[in-house]
Amino acid sequence: MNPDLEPSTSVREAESILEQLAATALDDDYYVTHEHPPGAAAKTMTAIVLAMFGLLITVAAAQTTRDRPATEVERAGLIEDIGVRRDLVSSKQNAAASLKGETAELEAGSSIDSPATKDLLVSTGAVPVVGPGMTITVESSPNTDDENGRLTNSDLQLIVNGLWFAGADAVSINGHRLASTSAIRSAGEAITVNYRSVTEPIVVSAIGDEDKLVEQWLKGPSGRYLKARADTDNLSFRVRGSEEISLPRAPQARMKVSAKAIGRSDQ
Amino acid sequence: MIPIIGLIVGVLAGIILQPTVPDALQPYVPIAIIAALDAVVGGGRALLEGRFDDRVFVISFVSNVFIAAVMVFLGDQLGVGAQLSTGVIVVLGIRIFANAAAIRRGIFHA
Repeated sequence: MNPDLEPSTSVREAESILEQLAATALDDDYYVTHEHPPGAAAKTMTAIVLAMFGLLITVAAAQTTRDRPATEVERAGLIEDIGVRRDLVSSKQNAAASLKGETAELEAGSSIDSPATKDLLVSTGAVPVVGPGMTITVESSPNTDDENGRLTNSDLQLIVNGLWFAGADAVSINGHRLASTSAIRSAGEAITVNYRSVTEPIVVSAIGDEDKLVEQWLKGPSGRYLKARADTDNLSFRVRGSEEISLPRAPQARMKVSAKAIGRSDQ
Repeated sequence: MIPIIGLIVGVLAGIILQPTVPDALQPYVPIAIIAALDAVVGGGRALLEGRFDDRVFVISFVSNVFIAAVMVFLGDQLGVGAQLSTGVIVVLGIRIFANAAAIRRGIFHA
């Protein structure tokens, strides 16, 4: 197969099609000799065909001329529409810009840096916290046959409530920071915090004044309860004060509360 | 002479009656005009070359317009109306120009 041949033949073919078109521009039938002279009927047919041609051209031209005002009106309407939309866009942009400025102003003037806000952020669990505090490490009794020896969710709840009572600023269990909507529950054998299961040994960390927190907690009902549990049911727990504890922030889902607005019910 | 009168009558009828093309036939008008123009220019060339034949002219005119309309209709049905119309316009345009060139040569010898 010769690659040189193919394009040249195709080019020649294309040329011939155009040439053919130009060469046979006049219908071949005109070249056939006609012996008889044209009759009146044939002349009339030609006249009718030409009349049709004239009519066709005139009607098309007339219609185009007649439709022009309508087309112009439509065009003007569209142009006007474009202008209106453009104005709308620019006014919206202006509004957006001014709102942006307003937002920036409000942010600048907000009291987010005030001590009260910071306290609020800490106690709601919205920010990670670092500071002195204490940790309590609890474990179930090594005797697994003893039903009472197992650490329960209510034990944990009591420990945590004791810590709040002792003046803790922030509490977390095994790295799960507690917020106002956090729950400590049991799910079968496991204990869940913030809907995540935690496994033993369970470390409860609290931030607050180190010595005071430890002392208050041990003296409080929570500490006494745990001590009693340790004595009777062989639970083990270890309390340790610490110079620096860092707690993560609570998960975003625990920061939100969605509830039906209080109002008159239809039911 | 009679054909010229026919043309004038047609133009006058169009101007006076001002008929409106029905919307259904609207798309066929442009291509029909091109096809008719081709037949008329071809007829004019034949006339100049002294081989005009009324029968051939009438048949070529009617068949041109009819085939153009059919092609537009078919193209619209198949979704290739614009492409088919372009093809028809190119082919008929070449024929019109070729015939017009022949008429020009016949009249001006140039």
